[in-house]
Amino acid sequence: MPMMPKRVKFRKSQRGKIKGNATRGNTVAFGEFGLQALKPSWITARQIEAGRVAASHFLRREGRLYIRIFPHKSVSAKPLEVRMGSGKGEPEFWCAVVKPGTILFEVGGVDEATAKKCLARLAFKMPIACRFVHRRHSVA
Amino acid sequence: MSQTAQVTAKSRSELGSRANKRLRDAGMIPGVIYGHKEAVVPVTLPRRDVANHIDRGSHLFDLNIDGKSEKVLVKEVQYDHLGIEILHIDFARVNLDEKVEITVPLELKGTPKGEADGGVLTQLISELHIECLVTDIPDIIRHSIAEMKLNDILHIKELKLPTGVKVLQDEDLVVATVKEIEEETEAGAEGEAEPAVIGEVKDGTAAVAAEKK
Repeated sequence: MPMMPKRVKFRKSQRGKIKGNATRGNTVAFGEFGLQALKPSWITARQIEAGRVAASHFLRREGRLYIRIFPHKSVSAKPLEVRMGSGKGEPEFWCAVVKPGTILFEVGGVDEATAKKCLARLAFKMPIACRFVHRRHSVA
Repeated sequence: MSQTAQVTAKSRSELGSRANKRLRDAGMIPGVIYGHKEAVVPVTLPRRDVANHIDRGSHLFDLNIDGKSEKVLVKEVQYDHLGIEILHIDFARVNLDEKVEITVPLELKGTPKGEADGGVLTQLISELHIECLVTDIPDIIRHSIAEMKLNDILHIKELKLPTGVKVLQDEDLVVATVKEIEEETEAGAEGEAEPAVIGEVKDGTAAVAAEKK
């Protein structure tokens, strides 16, 4: 079952624009390795779920997968063969708004080679270019 | 113990984002030195040298600023949105006989015994906030976890620290656990097809509630 919010204040949302780069959620925080978005995009709940399934099948019960994004935004669409007008369509799917630099997924409890393979499989399910990143330690 | 990195820096007179962008385009990093109740000095450093030292985990720098040597400690490093390029660096003046608070990486060595029984190691703390002399700053703190069994928990108080190092965090904090990962239940995950709307009451009861008011 794809992810979606349990409760919302408004069912339908405006499209908006994806401006700028990620200033939050752009560092590996929970695992040791992560998958970072290089482009702005909407990532649908189905794509996140496909990524989760691909990664958890690969990892089996070895490591731990962290999903760092959540589909908060509803996207509406009109049914086929319906004339324009008569108001906004019904919510069709949910998506996460992702800016360049956002860490999408993280993996922990496995070695680097396994994490690389796992996140490469996961990256195939994403609609944008991604890169593999390590956790960076603070020197301050 | 971490080594002192030698870097040549220049003091900079041009301030502001445009001047800093020009510096970055020329392969330099803007930085600033402060502390010890002396004047704040904006500096320029060669990016490649600084990035190499920072990537190796150097904390202590010996900056040669216009012919004058100064011992400084890295206080903050700002990266771009992808975490690749260093944008700015803060240094604090320091004496070698001074005690400082600093963050060092914590590495867990070995494979826990519990992994053979189906356990997965989860490291919850990967950096330690410590206090020590400037000359005693460790590059990394390593701890062996080979003896950890299934359902074992490692706390900060159980870590073996180098001499002269004091941890500033709560000693009961959990560093790592070896636990079995619960299987995600795919069946039964079918929830509601649509989220509930806050403030909306179903089946016309909203109207009734409004009338009563």
